[in-house]
Amino acid sequence: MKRVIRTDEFPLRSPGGEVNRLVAISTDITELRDTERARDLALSRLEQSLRHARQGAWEWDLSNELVTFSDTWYTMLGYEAGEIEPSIGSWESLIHPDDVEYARSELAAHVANENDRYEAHMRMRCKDGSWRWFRAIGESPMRDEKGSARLISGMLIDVDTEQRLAEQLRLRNEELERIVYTASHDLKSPIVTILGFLEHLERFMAQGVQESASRCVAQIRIAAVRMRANVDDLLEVSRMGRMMINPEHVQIEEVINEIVGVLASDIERTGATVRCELDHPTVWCDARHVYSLLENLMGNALKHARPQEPLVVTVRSRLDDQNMIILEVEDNGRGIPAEYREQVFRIFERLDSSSPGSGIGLAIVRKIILIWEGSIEIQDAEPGARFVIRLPAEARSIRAA
Amino acid sequence: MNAQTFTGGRSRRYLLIEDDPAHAELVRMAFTLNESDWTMDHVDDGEKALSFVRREGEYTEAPRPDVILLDLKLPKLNGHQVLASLKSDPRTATIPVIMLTTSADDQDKRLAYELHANSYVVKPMDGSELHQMIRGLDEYWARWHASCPVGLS
Repeated sequence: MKRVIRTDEFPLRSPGGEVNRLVAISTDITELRDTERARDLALSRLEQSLRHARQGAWEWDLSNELVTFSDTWYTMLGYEAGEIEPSIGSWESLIHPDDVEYARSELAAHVANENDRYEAHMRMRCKDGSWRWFRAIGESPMRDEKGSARLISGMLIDVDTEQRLAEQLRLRNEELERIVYTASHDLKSPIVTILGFLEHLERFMAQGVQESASRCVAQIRIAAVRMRANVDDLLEVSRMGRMMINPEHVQIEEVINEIVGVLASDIERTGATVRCELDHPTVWCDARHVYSLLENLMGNALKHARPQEPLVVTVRSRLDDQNMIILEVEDNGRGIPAEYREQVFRIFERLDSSSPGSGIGLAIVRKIILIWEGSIEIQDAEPGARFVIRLPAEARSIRAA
Repeated sequence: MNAQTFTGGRSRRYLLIEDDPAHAELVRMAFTLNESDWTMDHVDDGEKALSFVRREGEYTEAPRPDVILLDLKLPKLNGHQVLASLKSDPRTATIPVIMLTTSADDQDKRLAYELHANSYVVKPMDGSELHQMIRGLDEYWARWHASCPVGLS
């Protein structure tokens, strides 16, 4: 078997400066070299595993403020290894403003030995400007004899997909609970009417009061028709959540033209003007969804004109600096008071029981927004209402590390 | 107790706060069928209900209700909000309020009683619950009337 020998030679000199002797020391370093190779291999495997697991490592030496980030720590955020100066300050500068205070205080508690395990969920800004969710963990810091942390280390884990799924699940559960609650009222309500009038009907018939009996029958019919409409509406909202979606760059103007054609008689009747200010021509969505969004919002605007005031409905689109498409539908109608801006999105909810409609339009709008991970809010248009929709400019993809 | 609640044998009045016109008609018919001498006043949202009992806005001439039947799910202000306002205002706190709602939800019921509802009735009332309720109201006011000092009635 071959051995690896390391030889070191040292010259010895006479008082005059001449080399007169040579001392050589030979060491068998076979085991040492094998161990080093094994260590390098293990380290590179570890780094590879962490990369595959989308986990970066970090280390903070408090004695000299030296911070180290592993290569994956950088690449997860879209940077080249070492591209940012490794320091706690530069880490914090990447954390979302809403999360930074909490992340900082958790870390401080960890350093101060208040909690042995550090864990914080935070959004961090990637190099391309997008925000992703991360989980930072650390455990059992090395401490000096007084218990102060000397060296702390931990991992940074990309949990963006999980976080988004959990958020979507939470919103869907909320929606579901709301629908069940509302359905229990709104489906029960016509049944109450039917049962009540049936009972009255029996008594009127016993008394032989024909006219009152007919009124009961009429009420029963109206309630049954309403019940059928409510069930149809519920099915439609449910279908919206189950249908296969077909994402594409939808031309907004084409959709608006189609809607204006369908709503032509309402537009004519109300004397409304529809204006388009499309700074961004397309939206990344399913064409049927864009149609449904705009048709519901434009249709609503047409229903809520102020008397004596020519109605103007304006549709706008633009791209904001966070890579979101903003779609706005604005009218100069009666507007929506701030305290009702949340409840109008609930199914079967109407602001005004005298206005037409079943209260399903905005429930569908919200459902679509949820599917595309966007957001919707109602603003004052002074006068009138402005619905502002934000949709991601492109489908979110899970980026490879 | 407000002395003008019963003056000169005028019929008793109930205020029905209900946004569903069919349910309102249902209640009105039930009173008629029961041959009660109650007169119905009806408003269809929470804001109107408060204006009515406070005699504000278009309701300055509104009569004081002897009992209020209050739905929970209402436009503008919901039933719980209306109830809280009624029961926290000394002018209206003594008017009995019966919740009349399709919600059998425990939380809705608990909250209503916490806000001092006098009774909580879940629609649909089985059998002739509504009729029983009206007869109960009739009897209550008849007794109250009988035991009341002459000067007040």
